Amino acid sequence: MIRSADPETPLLTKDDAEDLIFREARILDERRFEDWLDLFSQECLYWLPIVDVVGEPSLIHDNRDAMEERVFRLLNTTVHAQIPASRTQHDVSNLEVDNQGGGGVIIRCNQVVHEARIGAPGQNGLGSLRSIPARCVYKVVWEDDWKIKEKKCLLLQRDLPLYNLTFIF
Amino acid sequence: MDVSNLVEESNDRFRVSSKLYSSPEIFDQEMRDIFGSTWVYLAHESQLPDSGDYITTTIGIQPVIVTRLEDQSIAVLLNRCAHRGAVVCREGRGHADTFRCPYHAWVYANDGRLVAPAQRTGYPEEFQSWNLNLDRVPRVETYRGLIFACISSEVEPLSQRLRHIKRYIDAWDDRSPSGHTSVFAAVQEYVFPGNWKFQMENGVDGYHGNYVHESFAKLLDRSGELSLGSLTRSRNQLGSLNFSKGFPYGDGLLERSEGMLGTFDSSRYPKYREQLKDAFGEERAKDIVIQRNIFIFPNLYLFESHIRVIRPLKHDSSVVEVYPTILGGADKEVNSARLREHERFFGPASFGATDDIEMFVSAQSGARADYFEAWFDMSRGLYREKLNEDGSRVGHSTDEVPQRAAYRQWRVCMTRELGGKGIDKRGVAS
Ligand code: FES
Ligand SMILES: [Fe+2]
Repeated sequence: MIRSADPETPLLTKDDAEDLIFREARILDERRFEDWLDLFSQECLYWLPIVDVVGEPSLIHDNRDAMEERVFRLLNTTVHAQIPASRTQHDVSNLEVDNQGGGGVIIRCNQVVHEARIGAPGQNGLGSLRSIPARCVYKVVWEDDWKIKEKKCLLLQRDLPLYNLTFIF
Repeated sequence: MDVSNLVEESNDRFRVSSKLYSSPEIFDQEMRDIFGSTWVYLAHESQLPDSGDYITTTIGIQPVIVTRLEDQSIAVLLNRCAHRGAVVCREGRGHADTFRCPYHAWVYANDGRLVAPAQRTGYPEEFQSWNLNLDRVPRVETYRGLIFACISSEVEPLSQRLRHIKRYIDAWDDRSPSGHTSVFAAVQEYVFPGNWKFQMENGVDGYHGNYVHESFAKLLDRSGELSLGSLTRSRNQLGSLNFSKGFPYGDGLLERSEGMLGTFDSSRYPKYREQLKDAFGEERAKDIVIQRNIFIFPNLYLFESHIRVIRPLKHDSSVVEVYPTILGGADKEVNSARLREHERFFGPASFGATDDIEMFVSAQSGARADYFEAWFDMSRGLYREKLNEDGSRVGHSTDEVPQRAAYRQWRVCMTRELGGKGIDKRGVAS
């Protein structure tokens, strides 16, 4: 039987992992961004690298404060790039759990975020479907429940020109 | 198309035609008459530290290779095989002494010279004299690490071209206490369905901030970094510390004593400020840390945190490349604080520039509504802008002074063959 590296940490089963990642997907697609924050531990990172190297410029490199700021911006301010707002659908696949991963429990999966902004017909930037695939790596920790400590999304297009990623990936 | 009437200026009114954004023909002409005949920014020297290093990019829409030669000089080659036109380099960056065309394997040295065609015996003796080399862009010069090239050889030296804006470039570059600015490896790139000139106009537009970036200002208010009221007040203030400027050749400047959104506040790093004083003296150090957005016509911006390059693709499609910089000699802590603050405002998932891009896309959609005479008005503050002896103009920080300067130069370039007025090829006001 596989044991987790830390005796205090229960084993994360594939079911647990799917529960967590599918729940996150649904929460984001339902635009419940405050609830999304609750999935993360107090000290956390939400990271969309351009090159997978620490210290280089990123698309997103949010610590907890910045994540809260991101959510506040989406919910409480006039975000022109979100008028009309993105409708998203997160599709999750290829999920694997690694309880022995360096420094904690790791969930790897692929995600495709399908995104559309529905608004005035015929205007640039609106009315078409984009599908943005990424390899995602989650570090999760046990805090009386599984919490996300780090969410890293390696977009397939990470070092290509990108348009409007103001929704939450 | 007669372009001379597409930019209209009178005493207190200034406007450009909607066609500047919506017409594919105008775009084609811009590629020839602007990007093909003026100094265009290509890369920063730190992207090519060693001989043999290269990057590929475009001048307008023409594919080029920028490479450092054996003698450390920089060559710019059109990326087009002299045989039957295949590009000889498909990578974005790398290291190579030769480029081998993938099609029929002609090999070129990195200065563009043809080394050998495959199966040489298929060509006659005089083949050598046909000079089937990669075309070399005739003019390549650098200033403060910034590499510029010009496809036309009929152009003034770069130092002369930059003479009005130089002191601002110097101050920008001197933010590195050791005099060594470099760029990170990772580049933030946006693509958007809109004309390249929307980005040209926007980086020195002090008028939109209170509205487009209200969201970002609210974040600063929330975190206690800056109160919304004081921000709006200082922006609306008329005063010598906040101003916009336009220059001959189409360059522009926005200067704000209280700082720009999304820029790192160096006053929080006293050691860094000390380093600047030690390196440049007290007076100069004060000037260096002033927050400025600098536009160099037609495609370069120098922002506090980054170099920004505009790459037109089509009349309604553009790429913007953002290269965050590293200030040599400054502490790691300073450079990483700058980077985090930069990422907060800039980049395709950021809290600031994403809203700018949305305006470009919105204006591109609006440019289609041209059933009646359709103009984009840029008259703001023309009646109060001051013309200096050196040809520069200065106005309130929310006035459209830099935009007018850019479009005056646009008109000069686009009507040169018609005997366009303004700055001629030698940079003399006519
Ligand atoms: S096209 Fe390059 S060798 Fe033929
Ligand atoms: Fe802006």
